[in-house]
Amino acid sequence: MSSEAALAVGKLARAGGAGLLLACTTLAAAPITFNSALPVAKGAFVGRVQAVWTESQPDTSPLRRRRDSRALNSVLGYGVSPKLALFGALPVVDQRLRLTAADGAQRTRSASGVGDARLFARYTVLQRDSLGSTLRLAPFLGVELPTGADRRSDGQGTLPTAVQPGSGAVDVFGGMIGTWQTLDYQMDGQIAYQHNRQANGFDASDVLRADLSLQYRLWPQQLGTGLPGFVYGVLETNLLHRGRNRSQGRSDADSGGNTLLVSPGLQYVTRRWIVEAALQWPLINRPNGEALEPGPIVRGGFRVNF
Amino acid sequence: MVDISVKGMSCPFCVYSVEKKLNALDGVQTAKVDLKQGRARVVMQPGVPHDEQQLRQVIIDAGFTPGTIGPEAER
Repeated sequence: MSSEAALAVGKLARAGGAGLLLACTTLAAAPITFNSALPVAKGAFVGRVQAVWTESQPDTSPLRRRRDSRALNSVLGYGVSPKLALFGALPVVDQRLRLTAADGAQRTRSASGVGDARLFARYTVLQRDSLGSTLRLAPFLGVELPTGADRRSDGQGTLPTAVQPGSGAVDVFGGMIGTWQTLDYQMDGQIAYQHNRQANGFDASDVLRADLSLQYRLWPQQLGTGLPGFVYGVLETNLLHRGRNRSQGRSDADSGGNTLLVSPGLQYVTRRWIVEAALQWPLINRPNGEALEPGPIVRGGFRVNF
Repeated sequence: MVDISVKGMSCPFCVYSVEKKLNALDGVQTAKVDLKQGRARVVMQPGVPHDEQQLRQVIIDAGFTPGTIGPEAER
């Protein structure tokens, strides 16, 4: 069994903020757990900062592994044209893996620092606007750069991949995001794929994910002539499939699997800024072998348009 | 005073984008958006005529689709 199996938990925690960063167009409320629908007009910027915390489910294997991760994910988007937007994201992470060694001693391995930066472009290929509603579809394509340290060590030697802030590899990702928005609600759906490449003899599995988000205006219930802040109730689902990692050319049977997260949340939306929070609850966990199961993820932050 | 029908707006963030771009135009005194009506009302500085093509482009740049544009009295 490999402690690299814990990698999935950390990747999952960063998936919405700056991990699997994906990108719609000039819309508003936008999902909390993924970034595909971040709104940005031509010549304008949008910034999003989210704090993310997660801890793996209790481990029943003899290693008694426990992995926790805290991250601050920052995203900056710029509208190059009404249809083309560019985004950059940089996480700062603090990751810890505790386990019971063969001699029964408790060991903790940890690392913190800047993670891997992500750059991507999104282009709106379909836009159907009418009074009070819009339908949009946009593919996106990006790259994850190895800006995070990937060879950190402590007194016990080189840290496991699950704890390293960076992957050391240049990874590519892409997908499609669709949005339907009215004055009362917004629905977003995306499908995305990330191809992870090998670094340091470790090849993290590719990731396929499908996400849905519903944001429903709770307040004000009736629109008037003025424009107060809006409160949206949010319900999102994230389905993630990961294959098995490969280490030194060998497949790790205790890595990867399938996870379905259900995420209730709230957003307060004003003209220029949004505050938002969500709890991502792992409704279904199907890990391969003895891979660590992702636990609940708490995320909260703000967004600003400038 | 000019009224612009703006299609695709659905929340305060949209309103900000449209108002910001309209208010940045030369000759515009004030611009206010009514989200419920899907309409932007632009007041030009005295003696300055509005440029319909320019107004349309601003709405497009903000990420939306312009509809009818014309003096308020004509709506």
